[in-house]
Amino acid sequence: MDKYANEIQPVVGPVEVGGELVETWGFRRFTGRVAAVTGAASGMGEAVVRRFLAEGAIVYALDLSQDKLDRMWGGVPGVTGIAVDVADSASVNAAFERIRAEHGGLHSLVTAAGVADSPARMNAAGGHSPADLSTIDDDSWNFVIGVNLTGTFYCIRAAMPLIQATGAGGAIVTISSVGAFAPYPLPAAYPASKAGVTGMTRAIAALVARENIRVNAVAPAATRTAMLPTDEALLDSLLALQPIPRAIPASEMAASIVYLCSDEAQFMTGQTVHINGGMVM
Amino acid sequence: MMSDTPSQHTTVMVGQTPVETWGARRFQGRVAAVTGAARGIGRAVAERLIAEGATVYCLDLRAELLKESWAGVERAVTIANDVGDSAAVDAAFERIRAEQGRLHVLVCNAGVPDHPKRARDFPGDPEPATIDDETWEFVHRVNLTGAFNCIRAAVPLIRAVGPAGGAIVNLSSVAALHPSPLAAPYPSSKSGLIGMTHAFAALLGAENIRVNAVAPAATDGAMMPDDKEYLATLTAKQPIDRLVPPSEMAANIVYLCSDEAQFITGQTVSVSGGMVM
Repeated sequence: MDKYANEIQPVVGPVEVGGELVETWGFRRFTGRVAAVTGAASGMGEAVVRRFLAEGAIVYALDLSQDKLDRMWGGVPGVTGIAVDVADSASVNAAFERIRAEHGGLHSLVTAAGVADSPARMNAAGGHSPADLSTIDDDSWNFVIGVNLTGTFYCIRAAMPLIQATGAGGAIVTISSVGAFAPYPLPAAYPASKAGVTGMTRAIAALVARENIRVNAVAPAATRTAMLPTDEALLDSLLALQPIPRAIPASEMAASIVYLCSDEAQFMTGQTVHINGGMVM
Repeated sequence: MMSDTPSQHTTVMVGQTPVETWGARRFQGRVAAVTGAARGIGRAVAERLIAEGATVYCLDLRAELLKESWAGVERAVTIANDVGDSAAVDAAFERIRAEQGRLHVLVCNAGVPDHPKRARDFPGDPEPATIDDETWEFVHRVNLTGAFNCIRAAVPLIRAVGPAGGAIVNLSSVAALHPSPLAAPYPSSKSGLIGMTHAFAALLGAENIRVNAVAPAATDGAMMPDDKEYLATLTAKQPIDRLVPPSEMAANIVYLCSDEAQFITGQTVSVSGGMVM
């Protein structure tokens, strides 16, 4: 069988998006459809925007900093950057009001904005922060819940009338985490916020299913983004818990997220899809 | 009010069947094996794989039906056998080895709802006293032992692919996750598949061989009776209240087989219109 030992699969459908090649395998599932992605200036959100664009979507890229958005997406056809703080409902409502004014409707929403911990604790710890309960002050707790959980709620609440306006249904994908399912001593706010996302996903899925609007979550393990622990020993100890012991590229996460947004997954709702190399089964 | 713009539908003809691929070609040059491929979900999976470029070995017990389903279809190879008979399974995969040298994808779909002497489709009598030894053993032999026989025979061929690995998908059922008073052998065998999926996923992950399960709700295929009232009681439990066609189920199964799902292993994906969340 030696002749197959290093078989490399043909790359079928790479599409160039903003100077980067995006593998689509030939898929064109979003031609003319409107999508909104939060946390879209880096990491997983960025990869989701790229994949949507590669498959023909019109994309609104939402992130905290207009500067970062302009640097990432300036001059890339099909994408509009809107600065928004997902933890601020007025800011979220204004962003979706702009999408309504420009397009009247929305097909897909991906709520990828998220934080691992408060900036103060991240900076103090030089990358990853302590889990000791006494070190988690009210502000840190509220900040993480505010962005990861409340921010997801604000975006879904603002997007829902736009998705309903398409008349043809649509899809929402929220981002949970393996941290919400694996008993691992992370600082508690992060897994709490990510577990909350799955509860909200189920409730809203049940609420809007009859309107053909699907709501699913993905629960990734360590993904190659800026949120990945910089501590090599910590990262190795996390990856050792996975039967497939590597960090997942953001583009692979995007493939699954965009699949859940597509008509390929028309019958899936209320699910949490675990993309974790087998860490939690 | 905006109307949704249709996406770029791309239909590929597989024999007489139009198959929606959205333009994807994820399985060009790849080899797949699908059991229970004469009808229903298995046939739809094989059609989708072929439409995206794969060569598919279509296995089924029903020799005539199998031949008739795949007559004249390019890149479909039929093998009539019984997945519960390990010698027959070994012979089928030996043939794939001889002809192709390796295998990228295995979908263990062959299954029965009950013993045919009791019920040819759902629902069979759930009273424990009516379930004789032969019924219990038959359902497990096909649904659970059959998948084991195929995986055991296929793993050396998937290993022959090399570091790129491959994917196995087992057909479980929403009946394994949702408490409903079905005749016990079916949900029992379908739960067993989930345990086996975990074990093989944990064992083979380091070799890039992924093993997942799909748990469908009632699918408009050969296993469902032609009884609208009964079907309505099933779909009423789903927030998305309709019977899913096999082609939609196939889209999800084939996604798990593809490199799009390279990091998903050991999972049970419930494609159930929200019946189980």
